[in-house]
Amino acid sequence: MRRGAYWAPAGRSIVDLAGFPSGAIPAGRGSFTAAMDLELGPRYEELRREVREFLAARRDDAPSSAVGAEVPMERRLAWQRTLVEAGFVGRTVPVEYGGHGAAPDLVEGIVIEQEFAAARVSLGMQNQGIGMLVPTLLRFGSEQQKRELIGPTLRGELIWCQGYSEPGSGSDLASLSTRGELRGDRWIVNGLKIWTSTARQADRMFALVRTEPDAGKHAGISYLLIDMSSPGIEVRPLVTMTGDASFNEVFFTDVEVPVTNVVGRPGQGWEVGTTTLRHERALLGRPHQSEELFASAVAIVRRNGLLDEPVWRDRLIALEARLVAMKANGLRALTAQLEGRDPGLSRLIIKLEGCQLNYDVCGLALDALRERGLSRPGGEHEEVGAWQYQRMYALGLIIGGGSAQIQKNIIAESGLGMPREPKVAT
Amino acid sequence: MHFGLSRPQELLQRSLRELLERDSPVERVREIGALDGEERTAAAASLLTALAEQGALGILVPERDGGAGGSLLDATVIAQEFGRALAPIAFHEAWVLGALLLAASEDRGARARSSGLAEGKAANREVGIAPAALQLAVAAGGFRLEGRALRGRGVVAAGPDSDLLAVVADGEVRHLVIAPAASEGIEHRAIESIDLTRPLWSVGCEAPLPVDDATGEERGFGVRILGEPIDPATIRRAVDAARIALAADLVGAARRALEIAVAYSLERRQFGRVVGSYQAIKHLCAERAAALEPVQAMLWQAAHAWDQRDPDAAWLAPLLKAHAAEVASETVTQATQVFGGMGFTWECDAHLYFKRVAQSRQLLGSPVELRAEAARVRYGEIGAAR
Repeated sequence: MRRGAYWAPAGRSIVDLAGFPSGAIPAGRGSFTAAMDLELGPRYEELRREVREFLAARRDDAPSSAVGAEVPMERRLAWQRTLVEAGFVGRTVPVEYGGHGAAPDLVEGIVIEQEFAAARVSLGMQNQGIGMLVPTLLRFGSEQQKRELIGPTLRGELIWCQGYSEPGSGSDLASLSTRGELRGDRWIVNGLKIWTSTARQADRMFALVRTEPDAGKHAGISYLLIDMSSPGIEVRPLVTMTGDASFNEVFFTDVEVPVTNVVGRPGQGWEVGTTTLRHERALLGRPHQSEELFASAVAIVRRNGLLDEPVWRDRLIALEARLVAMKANGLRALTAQLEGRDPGLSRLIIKLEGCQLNYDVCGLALDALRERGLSRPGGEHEEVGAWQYQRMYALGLIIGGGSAQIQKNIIAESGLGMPREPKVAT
Repeated sequence: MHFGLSRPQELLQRSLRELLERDSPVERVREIGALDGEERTAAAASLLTALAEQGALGILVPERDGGAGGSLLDATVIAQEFGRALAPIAFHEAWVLGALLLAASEDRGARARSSGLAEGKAANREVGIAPAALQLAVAAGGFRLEGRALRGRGVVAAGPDSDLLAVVADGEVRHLVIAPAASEGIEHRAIESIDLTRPLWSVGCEAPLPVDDATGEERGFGVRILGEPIDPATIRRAVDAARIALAADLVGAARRALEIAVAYSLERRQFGRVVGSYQAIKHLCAERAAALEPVQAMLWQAAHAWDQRDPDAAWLAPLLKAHAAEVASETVTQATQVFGGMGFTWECDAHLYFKRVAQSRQLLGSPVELRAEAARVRYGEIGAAR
């Protein structure tokens, strides 16, 4: 009697329908109809073989990736060029801009990352120029900017730093007040940027600067490319809680920037800059980082004879549950991206959950090390001392790149459809 | 590569959600929950019939017995919708654990009950077994054979009008024993479970109950061993599948609880604005969504591993159920909190999800036990390394 109800064609139960071969379901489209399949497919296995052959032949040319290893710059640059030529860096960047010209393919990137990680060979320089500026230029840059800047950036010949945050503009980035005044054919830049990693090494900075103070908060910002050797730039190291000067403050006093050094239109900077932010967030909290950290923590628990203690096992396996869930979540988000669908919450939560997981894994490793966990890097227990550093670094990443609280706002607003908190008169 | 549900599975999910919203809305779940005895059985039976006619119950029943012979991933889609709808059905027990145990037996009576599961009732009149039985109660532990007599007690989700399928220990050997509905000597005690949607029973025989000698071919109404001894690995896999199905129920209930809490927070106004605009509420909801979303993916991963006979399923299944129970518990707790004082009332639906999750948490292993079990498989037995 109920058979053939409104949701199913007459005579078919919902399970009959579900049992159809995928091709028979209308409105399906290619991989969208696919069933669970964790194999990458023969095409990618071929790439995998190719990467392995490259690694076997060339791995001796790679600079050491060990922590603290001193590598001459020439050697690093030579390796970087090798990777660009082989198509493992800048793979999808068009040939005319100095890349390899491959069609965009997320899975190819993953296979390459996996093989380099497994071989413990450096995949070249991981800097904000390659990770953030190049994708931005490809989308918003002028033809001249693309031709002049992308190639040298990929090859490591141009090092970039990012000038976004200011002392008064952290989470509320769009309130930034470093200003650029147009005088003749130059922008005259005055102000202060903070949290600028690699500012001392960088040749150039990509920066968000307020160029139209009378336009709205978001509409008055431009994305400028600034030569770090310009007169009027002063870089001061910013020592963090880890003891490293991994960040800097960058002071601008009447710094002259050619008018053509704007990416996109003047006033389009917010759109141009937040695109790069998305590239940054995509890199933070990814589960493969947690996986490496967790494997090291398990080794410590095991080595200290604690794996036989029920309390330790319970803590360890509870963390492993979160790790397994985040790995599966990553595959789910990746599938949505591959199929051109909105990954929704599965992507929005990665930074918040992944960074917190890393911090908690460090806490477990430190507990297992007892007093030996106290030593700082460079101290008596070199290897284990790194965990205090790792934990502080993990805390930095909970705060940086969009703090945990900002992430929760994004999850609530974009993921759950909850309203922004109304502005309060101050 | 494709990680997630297939298009047909998404279609199944949508169709079942529509069916349950129409035939088993929360008001109906409350009505059924307020009934007792035969009235309740009859009310639940009509939903079972509707679900059986749509093929949702026989998803794990082999095709030779009239089921769909589907995957566990298919079954988790169904289980999650049942959790979401608070459906008055203990799917994980009869239709997952029971279906998989019966599928492992060549006994004719097992076949008959297997097809009965697909039809929404344990009896199959053609074979002439216990025509009164409406459901199947499955006890995975708690019973043993003493000589040729059955003894023990277990917690099950189906009452006295159900056949009892028990996994019975006979020393090291395990058998499946079937006790037809209302077999003399088997006593049912209703457990005052907080979950209104899935009542529980304590079923047992304190005095040894003789088992008929017939081990297979003959029909009969007596308490019988179903065929050959059952392989411990098969039992283990069936229990793991039931845990994965319970995790799906937990995820479904918790997701829905968060949805209704968010919806309420967008209606309820205090201090001149909806409470969902305060970060105190937004962040609480965001934290739950952030913890819950990965459990959805872990559920699919574990079900897929089980379907593929991946050895990792042996630790993924208990770990998933433990983790889902922890995250779902915290989610329904916070969802109740979002409703404020209303959340503490009988009138508000929040407590229905709270209780559904609270019951699932206790079944087939508590989170601490299950983490210990997962750790034994993952890291080895305690002391093994010494």
